[in-house]
Amino acid sequence: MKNILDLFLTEIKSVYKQCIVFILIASLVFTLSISLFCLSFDVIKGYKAYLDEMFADGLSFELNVKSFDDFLRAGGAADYLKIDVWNFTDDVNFSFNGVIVSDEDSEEYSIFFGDAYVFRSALPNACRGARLVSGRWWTDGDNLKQNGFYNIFISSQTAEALGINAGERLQMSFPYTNAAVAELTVAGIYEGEDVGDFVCPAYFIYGIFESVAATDYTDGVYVYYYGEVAEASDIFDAVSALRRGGFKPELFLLEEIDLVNAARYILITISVISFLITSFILNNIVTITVNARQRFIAQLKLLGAKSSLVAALYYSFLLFSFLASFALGSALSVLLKNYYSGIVNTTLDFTVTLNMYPAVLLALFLTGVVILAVRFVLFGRKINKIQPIDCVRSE
Amino acid sequence: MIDIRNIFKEYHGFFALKDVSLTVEAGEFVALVGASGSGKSTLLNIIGQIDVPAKGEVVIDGVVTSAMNDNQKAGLRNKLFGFIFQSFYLESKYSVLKNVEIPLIIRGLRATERKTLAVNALETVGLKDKAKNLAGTLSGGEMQRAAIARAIAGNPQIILADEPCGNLDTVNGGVILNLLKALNDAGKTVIMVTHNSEHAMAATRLIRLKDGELVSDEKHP
Ligand SMILES: Nc1ncnc2c1ncn2[C@@H]1O[C@H](COP(=O)(O)OP(=O)(O)OP(=O)(O)O)[C@@H](O)[C@H]1O
Ligand SMILES: [Mg+2]
Repeated sequence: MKNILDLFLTEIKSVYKQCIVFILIASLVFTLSISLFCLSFDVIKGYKAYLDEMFADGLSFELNVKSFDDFLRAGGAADYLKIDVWNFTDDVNFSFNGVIVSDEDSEEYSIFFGDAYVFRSALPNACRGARLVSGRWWTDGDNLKQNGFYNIFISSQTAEALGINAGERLQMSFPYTNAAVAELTVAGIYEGEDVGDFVCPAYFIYGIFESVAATDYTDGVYVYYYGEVAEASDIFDAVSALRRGGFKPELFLLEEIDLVNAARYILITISVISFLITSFILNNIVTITVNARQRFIAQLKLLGAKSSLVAALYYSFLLFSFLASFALGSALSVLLKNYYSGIVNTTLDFTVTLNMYPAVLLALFLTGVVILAVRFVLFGRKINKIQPIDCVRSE
Repeated sequence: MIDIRNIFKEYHGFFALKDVSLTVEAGEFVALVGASGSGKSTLLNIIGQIDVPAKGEVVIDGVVTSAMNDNQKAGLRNKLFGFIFQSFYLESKYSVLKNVEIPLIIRGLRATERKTLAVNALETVGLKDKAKNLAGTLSGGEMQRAAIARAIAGNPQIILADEPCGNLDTVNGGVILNLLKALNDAGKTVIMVTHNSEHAMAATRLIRLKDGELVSDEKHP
């Protein structure tokens, strides 16, 4: 081990010239690779900051749910989902003693729901501000199928409009049939701002719609979820989560989100390509070094060096060049980060600040080490081919 | 100590060595002579474990070298042999001292020990004061003395010299020959290829090759 270092320190004096040029080129490409990889995270970060600033009140999106399975899945999909508005509320009435609830301003109801079968400990985001006025609130893990299935929670305004108290029953009806589709018990009455008119189990609501769909009065059931994210930046992850779940959220920002995502992948791709280029450049350092030092290598062997020693010697040049150019590239990336951010910022609507992520650096570094390890095998063969006799053969 | 048994060396149907057998005892000073292309270098390389024969065996201190693997042969070259060539094969960008140290680095000696041995060897060849100079800046005669220092620094038992004076003028050639003689007097076995008949007479034994065959073997007391 020690003799490798001794030889290395000696040999570097004769090969550093070709090394330096390559190391400089490699560090420039490394800079690009490192910066772009980090930038791929920063673009997202910048976009999220921009969303939060532009949409300080949060963002909502629509989700077209086509089947009962979807409905349940969407209901349980994420905390940021709630049913906010039914777009065909005209078709459904909530009535008590024949009095139909109608909202003169908007003809809309906000109906929140918990999980499909079991209320979660956490309320949906949008009705967090609700306070119980009378009756009972749902308790954590209430099994709706067993005891809460026909329970509904209503806002104090709705209760007032209907003249209903906790414990009484109300009808959910379908205007075309005029028949009560279902009777629900008002389990609790709550108040609060912007907390919706009803809270009831998702499963139940869908059940109503299924029965509506079965009548002759409708062409089918369209259920729209209106999801809402409190922090607009969450929309970015929410959209990916929903897409992973097989849903297509409808949102005006979708194109932009796709664009930002595309930018991220383009950045990552360029980064990876330039990383591979660097590894190619570095590989050339050694190829050229070994070729230039063929006679010396033969001489080392002639003087009694094992192939493994010589391989280790020249492999350490590869390692050294990699370490040097990676370190230099990292340093340059830090120096040039404002420059890179500037380029990106002229092409985007939002501001991106380039950060250096230790995890990214580490990941790229380890990738480099793995590539080098693979190289080592090929490299050993090259060294093995050079024989001591090559030293004394005619020049 | 070196026992060469029925060596053949073939290059694409051409025999550079044909059935050469020869025993060299410790302490001998052997001069290998013969016309150009007669196989002298080939024989020397085979002895020095730089080259392998097509047929036949080299036995060194009772060990058949064909049974050795590359690493064992490398160890042998490092410890048992000192090599000197007509073209020196010094690293011109290394200092003289560094050149001399290379076989010692390969052997894995520690820096202080290495330096002592290298400086001693340079002192033997009269180059101590040029130790720090770059090898490329030396004169031909000095280069060959540096090469000798490299060959002897690790204290090998056998010195293999392939036309060590071939690139040198008479004066410098004489200096090198005297160094080799001194080494032989100090107990080293020396095998030297030479074209110079005067130099050949300095040896204790003269072996002549012709077209790859050993044609004469005389001892000079
Ligand atoms: N690698 C090789 N390929 C083909 N032929 C070779 C090779 N090496 C040596 N020879 C041939 O083998 C013969 C012996 O070569 P060798 O170098 O041993 O001669 P030599 O006696 O040392 O000659 P010189 O005095 O010119 O150095 C020569 O004819 C040479 O051309
Ligand atoms: Mg020769």
